[in-house]
Amino acid sequence: MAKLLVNLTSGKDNIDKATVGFVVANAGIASGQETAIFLSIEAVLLAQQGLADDIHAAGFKPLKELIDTFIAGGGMVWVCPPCANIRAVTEDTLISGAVFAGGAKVVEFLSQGAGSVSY
Amino acid sequence: MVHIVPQVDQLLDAGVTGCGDLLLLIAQHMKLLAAGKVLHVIGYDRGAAQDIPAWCRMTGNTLCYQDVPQNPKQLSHFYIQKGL
Repeated sequence: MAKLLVNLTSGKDNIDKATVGFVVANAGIASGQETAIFLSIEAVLLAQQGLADDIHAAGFKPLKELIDTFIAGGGMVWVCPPCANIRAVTEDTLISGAVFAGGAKVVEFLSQGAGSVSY
Repeated sequence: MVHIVPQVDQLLDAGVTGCGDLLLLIAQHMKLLAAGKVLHVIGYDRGAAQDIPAWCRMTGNTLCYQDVPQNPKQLSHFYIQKGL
Protein backbone atom coordinates (compact mmCIF):
# COMPACT_ATOMS: atom_id res chain seq x y z
CA MET A 1 0.00 0.00 0.00
CA ALA A 2 1.32 3.44 -0.90
CA LYS A 3 1.69 6.03 1.82
CA LEU A 4 0.66 9.66 2.22
CA LEU A 5 1.76 12.07 4.92
CA VAL A 6 -0.19 15.27 5.46
CA ASN A 7 1.80 17.80 7.44
CA LEU A 8 -0.56 20.25 9.15
CA THR A 9 0.67 23.24 11.15
CA SER A 10 -2.51 25.32 11.42
CA GLY A 11 -5.49 25.06 13.72
CA LYS A 12 -7.94 27.74 14.70
CA ASP A 13 -5.45 30.34 13.50
CA ASN A 14 -6.25 29.29 9.92
CA ILE A 15 -9.35 27.13 9.68
CA ASP A 16 -9.07 26.87 5.90
CA LYS A 17 -5.66 25.21 6.12
CA ALA A 18 -6.78 23.02 9.03
CA THR A 19 -9.82 21.88 7.09
CA VAL A 20 -8.12 21.30 3.76
CA GLY A 21 -5.42 19.28 5.50
CA PHE A 22 -8.03 16.80 6.70
CA VAL A 23 -9.91 16.90 3.39
CA VAL A 24 -6.75 15.80 1.58
CA ALA A 25 -6.00 13.25 4.29
CA ASN A 26 -9.45 11.78 3.72
CA ALA A 27 -8.74 11.73 0.00
CA GLY A 28 -5.72 9.60 0.85
CA ILE A 29 -7.86 7.16 2.81
CA ALA A 30 -10.46 7.08 0.05
CA SER A 31 -7.70 6.33 -2.45
CA GLY A 32 -6.45 3.33 -0.53
CA GLN A 33 -3.31 5.03 0.78
CA GLU A 34 -1.86 4.37 4.21
CA THR A 35 -2.35 7.90 5.48
CA ALA A 36 -0.98 9.80 8.46
CA ILE A 37 -1.52 13.40 9.43
CA PHE A 38 1.18 15.03 11.51
CA LEU A 39 -0.14 17.84 13.70
CA SER A 40 2.45 20.36 14.80
CA ILE A 41 2.55 23.98 15.98
CA GLU A 42 -1.05 25.32 16.27
CA ALA A 43 -2.52 22.18 14.72
CA VAL A 44 -1.85 20.13 17.86
CA LEU A 45 -4.88 21.82 19.41
CA LEU A 46 -7.09 20.05 16.86
CA ALA A 47 -6.28 16.80 18.66
CA GLN A 48 -7.66 18.11 21.93
CA GLN A 49 -11.21 16.98 22.69
CA GLY A 50 -13.75 19.62 21.78
CA LEU A 51 -11.37 22.12 20.21
CA ALA A 52 -12.31 21.32 16.63
CA ASP A 53 -16.03 20.96 17.28
CA ASP A 54 -16.97 24.48 16.22
CA ILE A 55 -14.65 24.80 13.22
CA HIS A 56 -16.52 24.89 9.94
CA ALA A 57 -14.76 26.45 6.97
CA ALA A 58 -17.00 27.65 4.16
CA GLY A 59 -17.33 25.15 1.37
CA PHE A 60 -16.31 22.13 3.41
CA LYS A 61 -17.78 19.71 5.93
CA PRO A 62 -17.33 20.58 9.61
CA LEU A 63 -13.82 19.77 10.76
CA LYS A 64 -14.93 17.39 13.49
CA GLU A 65 -16.76 15.31 10.90
CA LEU A 66 -13.66 15.25 8.71
CA ILE A 67 -11.48 14.17 11.64
CA ASP A 68 -13.92 11.47 12.72
CA THR A 69 -14.15 10.15 9.16
CA PHE A 70 -10.36 10.09 8.85
CA ILE A 71 -9.84 8.14 12.06
CA ALA A 72 -12.71 5.77 11.37
CA GLY A 73 -11.15 5.06 7.98
CA GLY A 74 -7.89 3.96 9.54
CA GLY A 75 -6.03 7.25 9.29
CA MET A 76 -3.25 7.88 11.77
CA VAL A 77 -3.11 11.14 13.74
CA TRP A 78 0.35 11.97 15.08
CA VAL A 79 0.69 14.84 17.53
CA CYS A 80 4.04 16.62 17.96
CA PRO A 81 4.97 16.21 21.64
CA PRO A 82 6.93 19.44 22.23
CA CYS A 83 4.29 21.49 20.39
CA ALA A 84 1.63 19.86 22.57
CA ASN A 85 3.59 20.45 25.76
CA ILE A 86 3.76 24.20 25.33
CA ARG A 87 0.03 24.32 24.52
CA ALA A 88 -0.96 22.16 27.50
CA VAL A 89 -2.36 19.36 25.35
CA THR A 90 -2.24 16.20 27.45
CA GLU A 91 -2.91 12.48 26.98
CA ASP A 92 -6.16 12.55 28.88
CA THR A 93 -7.59 15.27 26.64
CA LEU A 94 -6.54 13.78 23.29
CA ILE A 95 -9.24 12.67 20.89
CA SER A 96 -9.53 8.92 20.47
CA GLY A 97 -7.20 7.73 17.76
CA ALA A 98 -4.55 10.42 18.17
CA VAL A 99 -1.13 9.58 19.58
CA PHE A 100 1.95 11.56 20.47
CA ALA A 101 4.64 10.92 17.88
CA GLY A 102 7.41 13.13 16.64
CA GLY A 103 10.24 13.45 14.20
CA ALA A 104 11.35 9.84 13.98
CA LYS A 105 7.88 8.56 13.05
CA VAL A 106 7.62 11.23 10.37
CA VAL A 107 11.08 10.53 8.98
CA GLU A 108 10.54 6.77 9.00
CA PHE A 109 7.22 7.14 7.16
CA LEU A 110 8.82 9.38 4.54
CA SER A 111 11.82 7.07 4.20
CA GLN A 112 9.38 4.26 3.41
CA GLY A 113 8.28 6.17 0.34
CA ALA A 114 5.39 8.26 1.63
CA GLY A 115 4.45 11.24 -0.43
CA SER A 116 3.77 14.37 1.55
CA VAL A 117 1.78 17.55 1.34
CA SER A 118 1.88 20.43 3.81
CA TYR A 119 -0.67 22.97 4.99
CA MET B 1 12.07 -7.80 21.33
CA VAL B 2 13.84 -9.26 24.35
CA HIS B 3 11.71 -8.79 27.45
CA ILE B 4 14.50 -8.68 29.99
CA VAL B 5 16.35 -5.58 31.08
CA PRO B 6 19.84 -5.81 29.55
CA GLN B 7 23.08 -4.80 31.15
CA VAL B 8 23.61 -1.07 30.69
CA ASP B 9 26.84 0.45 29.40
CA GLN B 10 25.81 4.10 29.43
CA LEU B 11 22.96 6.12 30.87
CA LEU B 12 21.35 9.09 29.14
CA ASP B 13 19.01 11.20 31.24
CA ALA B 14 17.13 13.11 28.54
CA GLY B 15 14.82 14.95 30.91
CA VAL B 16 12.08 16.75 29.00
CA THR B 17 13.96 16.71 25.69
CA GLY B 18 11.71 15.48 22.89
CA CYS B 19 11.14 14.97 19.20
CA GLY B 20 14.16 15.80 16.99
CA ASP B 21 16.23 17.11 19.89
CA LEU B 22 15.88 13.80 21.71
CA LEU B 23 16.92 11.87 18.62
CA LEU B 24 20.02 14.02 18.19
CA LEU B 25 20.94 13.45 21.81
CA ILE B 26 20.53 9.70 21.45
CA ALA B 27 22.50 9.65 18.20
CA GLN B 28 25.36 11.59 19.80
CA HIS B 29 25.56 9.14 22.70
CA MET B 30 25.27 6.08 20.48
CA LYS B 31 28.20 7.29 18.37
CA LEU B 32 30.45 6.96 21.39
CA LEU B 33 29.45 3.36 22.06
CA ALA B 34 30.97 0.24 20.53
CA ALA B 35 28.77 -2.24 18.69
CA GLY B 36 26.75 -4.39 21.06
CA LYS B 37 26.85 -1.90 23.91
CA VAL B 38 23.62 -0.70 25.48
CA LEU B 39 22.41 2.84 26.08
CA HIS B 40 19.72 3.34 28.70
CA VAL B 41 17.61 6.40 27.86
CA ILE B 42 15.25 7.88 30.44
CA GLY B 43 12.99 10.84 29.92
CA TYR B 44 9.53 12.35 29.86
CA ASP B 45 8.93 12.78 26.12
CA ARG B 46 5.44 11.48 25.39
CA GLY B 47 6.28 10.79 21.77
CA ALA B 48 9.30 8.66 22.60
CA ALA B 49 7.26 5.45 22.66
CA GLN B 50 6.63 6.00 18.95
CA ASP B 51 9.83 7.79 18.02
CA ILE B 52 12.55 5.68 19.61
CA PRO B 53 11.36 2.37 18.07
CA ALA B 54 11.13 4.13 14.69
CA TRP B 55 14.60 5.62 15.11
CA CYS B 56 16.02 2.19 15.99
CA ARG B 57 14.43 0.60 12.91
CA MET B 58 15.94 3.29 10.69
CA THR B 59 19.41 3.26 12.17
CA GLY B 60 20.04 -0.45 12.60
CA ASN B 61 20.09 -0.35 16.37
CA THR B 62 18.05 -2.70 18.54
CA LEU B 63 15.48 -1.62 21.09
CA CYS B 64 16.01 -4.38 23.62
CA TYR B 65 13.47 -3.27 26.17
CA GLN B 66 11.16 -0.36 26.92
CA ASP B 67 9.08 0.63 29.90
CA VAL B 68 6.57 3.37 29.15
CA PRO B 69 4.21 4.06 32.07
CA GLN B 70 0.60 5.06 31.44
CA ASN B 71 1.11 8.06 33.68
CA PRO B 72 2.88 10.71 31.56
CA LYS B 73 4.36 12.24 34.69
CA GLN B 74 6.43 9.12 35.23
CA LEU B 75 9.73 8.51 33.46
CA SER B 76 9.96 6.24 30.45
CA HIS B 77 12.91 3.89 30.00
CA PHE B 78 14.44 2.62 26.76
CA TYR B 79 17.36 0.23 26.34
CA ILE B 80 19.05 0.51 22.95
CA GLN B 81 21.77 -1.85 21.81
CA LYS B 82 24.13 -0.45 19.21
CA GLY B 83 24.03 -2.34 15.93
CA LEU B 84 27.03 -3.96 14.31
